[in-house]
Amino acid sequence: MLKYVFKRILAMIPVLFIISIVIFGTVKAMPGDEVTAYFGAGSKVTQEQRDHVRELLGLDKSLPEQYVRWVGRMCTGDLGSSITLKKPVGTIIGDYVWNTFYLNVVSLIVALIFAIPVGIKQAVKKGSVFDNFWTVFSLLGISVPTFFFALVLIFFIGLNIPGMPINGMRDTMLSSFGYSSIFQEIGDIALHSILPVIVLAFSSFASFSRYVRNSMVEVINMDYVRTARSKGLKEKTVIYKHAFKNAQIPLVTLLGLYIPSLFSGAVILESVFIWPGIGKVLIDAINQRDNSLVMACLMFSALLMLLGNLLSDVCYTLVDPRIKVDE
Amino acid sequence: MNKQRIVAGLASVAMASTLVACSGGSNSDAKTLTVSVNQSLTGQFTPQYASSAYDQYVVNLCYESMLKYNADNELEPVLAKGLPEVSADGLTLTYKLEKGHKFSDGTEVTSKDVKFTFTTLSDPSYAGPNGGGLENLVGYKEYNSGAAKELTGIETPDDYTVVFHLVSPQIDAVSTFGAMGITSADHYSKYKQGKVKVVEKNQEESCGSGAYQLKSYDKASGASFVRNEEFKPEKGQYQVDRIVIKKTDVTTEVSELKKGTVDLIPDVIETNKVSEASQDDNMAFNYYSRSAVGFVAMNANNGATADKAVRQALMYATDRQGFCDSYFGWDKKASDEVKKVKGGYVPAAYWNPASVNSGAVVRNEETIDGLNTYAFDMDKANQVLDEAGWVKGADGIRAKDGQKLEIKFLCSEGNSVLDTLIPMVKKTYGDLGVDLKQTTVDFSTLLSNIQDESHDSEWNMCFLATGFTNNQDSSANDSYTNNPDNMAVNNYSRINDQALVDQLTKARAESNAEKSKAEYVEAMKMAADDAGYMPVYSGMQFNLYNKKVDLTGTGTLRNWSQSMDTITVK
Repeated sequence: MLKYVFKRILAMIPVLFIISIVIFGTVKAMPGDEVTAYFGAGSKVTQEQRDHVRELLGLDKSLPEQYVRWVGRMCTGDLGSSITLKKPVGTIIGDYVWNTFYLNVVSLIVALIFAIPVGIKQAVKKGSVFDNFWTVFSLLGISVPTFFFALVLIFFIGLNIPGMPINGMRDTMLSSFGYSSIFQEIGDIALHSILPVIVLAFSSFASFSRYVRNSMVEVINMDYVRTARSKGLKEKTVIYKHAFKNAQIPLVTLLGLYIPSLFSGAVILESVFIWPGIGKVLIDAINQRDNSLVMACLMFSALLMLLGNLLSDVCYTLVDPRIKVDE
Repeated sequence: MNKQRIVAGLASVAMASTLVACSGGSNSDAKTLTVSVNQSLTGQFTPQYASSAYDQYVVNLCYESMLKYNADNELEPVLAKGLPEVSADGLTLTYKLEKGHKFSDGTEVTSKDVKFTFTTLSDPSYAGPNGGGLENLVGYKEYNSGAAKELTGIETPDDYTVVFHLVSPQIDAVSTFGAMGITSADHYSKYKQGKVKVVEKNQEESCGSGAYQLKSYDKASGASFVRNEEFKPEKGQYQVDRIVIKKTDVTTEVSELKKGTVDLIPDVIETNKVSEASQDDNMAFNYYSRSAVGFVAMNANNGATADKAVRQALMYATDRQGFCDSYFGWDKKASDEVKKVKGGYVPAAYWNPASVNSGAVVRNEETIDGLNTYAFDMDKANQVLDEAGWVKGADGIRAKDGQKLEIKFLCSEGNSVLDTLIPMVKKTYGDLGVDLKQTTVDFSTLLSNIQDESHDSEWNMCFLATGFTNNQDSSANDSYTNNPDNMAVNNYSRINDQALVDQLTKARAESNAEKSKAEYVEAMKMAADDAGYMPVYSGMQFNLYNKKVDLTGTGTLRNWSQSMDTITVK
């Protein structure tokens, strides 16, 4: 297995190289100018000052030279500096990525807590009112845009419940001037998480419950399940211990592919809820032509996607003994 | 049973969280002002580097300047003892500093710090947005090029006297030097010529002599401030203990004000927000004239707009009064009190509405003989084009010498002004025989395109808004510059009128205020005739706040962050 993982990691290098060219090319092809972004809108500066900054940022070099310098720096762990925030890009990503991770993990857990039992029950009661209701419900979850659902929650719940925060991750006053205890801080973050977690969990629930249902429907009529029933096992044991174990396989694949979005997802949602996550930072960076930050965030996402794929394949072999890795 | 336990567990966690979170926050007697902003602070928190209006709030709270504007748009002393002495020839300005002002690290503010601030702004490696206007300082060019080791144009004969020497008189010199925030030389003791990076780095570690200190900053959520313990306010001033600048969403900020999670929404121009707030008994508002203008720049370097007659005709054919009536009109929700306020007006010229000299003209409170304000007149627009030889073809589009009258209007996306303006001009320009083509790009692209002459062929008109931070006319000198090094960056119209440039230079170099005013008025007429910029709107700006705040002292050139001496919170 280790040999397989090592081979896969080696194979990622040329893929990452190609991705880096695509990312660099796409970002450089965007209209707009980093030097204008550096000075900020409306700044009256001389051409000499602009040329000076262009030189400082290395933008006076040819594109291939800029690419080589960028990749070279990345290989040494230097992701460059943000021209708008005037900070190392690595520090910025480190500051914000965990907020995104927290939000997505909590939402994922909430979604799974509800999606697994609902999906199983839908499969067991296939064609019933229960099944139809949750099918429509999950279709809604997939179809309704997250920003719309977020705004609906803000206006109908957030603004009408006293004390319910509608944006941010922490109470600005408390976080600025100090929490009285760690429990107050945890409570504050939990309270601020309610609305964004509902929105994220709603859309994840929709896709997970459908996966679980469809997977269970396939498994539930198989011979070994019938055998289990004929042995006189309790229905709960048959469903959860025998059937669901095999129905997990596609879910594990899905979860593996979900890993990158734990760190980089929820771009629009973070903007609506002003959640201090990496998605919001990326959007701002794109709008402000902060190219170093944009390229680093995209490379980070690409790396996570590749690692997620690898993890998904590894997990697949763990939950399904019929699959062996080709070493 | 298990299911019940899970539900009960989740419910109790949620309730506990709510109770725990709600229990904090109000356990302090500190008076706190929470201010809403709907754009992120970028962390450029020094006078040298702050460029956005929001970062400038932080600078205003944490740093002091020698002078600042009062609510009547007049300069008054802060670090200085009074207004500077200006020599008879206008070439020397002497500021006397008041003793006893201290930076947050406990060191006293002296003339050395003033010289240090302007030295960093003149540094060869300085690449920030706030170095404009210093080129006229004696020794600037030598220091900036690295030829000299010291900025000789600023002398510090003693700890409390600063003398600025100018190459030529400059009418706005008092405000240019006086209104700049002063940074501590000791705090940046590692600074050497060519190493201004020491100021650029770690801008969040502020060391100013202002009434407040930055406590925390997060790009996504905002910033908080506590008192600078070294700052000694006069009795009855600076009564707010803590300030929070909170990032909010534009769609919910008024709701947040109603809910009490923010206390103040500053500098609002959208009448729908003011209307919504005006009917709430718990909210109050104040307002004053804006020192900003929304304008259309017309590119004299491309196609049809290279012809002055076309630019003039387009100005006549734009119903700017109709736009202002529509965009700044009050809706049904507005209170009777707020309906009495005229939200917007068409400026008489693209000029500073807060100018001590010509602001009254821009605001239509005074008139000048010979100044063409281009009131909406389709007959006049047609006549100007007819006389210039632009003839309507069978397709209804005018042409001259085989060139169609095609106008490319470069728009920025998500701009509510353009949502109202573009449909209006499409109709009138179509009637005039103009083929209007609209291109919409994001704001960053628009800005970089119009600041780069290589993109000139892509646009004839574009909409922008600009703010003015002083009560002088000198911004016109930048807007019409024909210096090839600066033209694309500052002169969006690309008008190259040497007579106008000479007139503006003469006006700025006149140290006598009355004479300077007369020269600037002449320049204003010449600029109007060139029709490079079409002023579209200016108007009132509102501060919306809840009634626990007493927001006195704010004005056109003095926003809330500059008025903390008089603002109180119950």
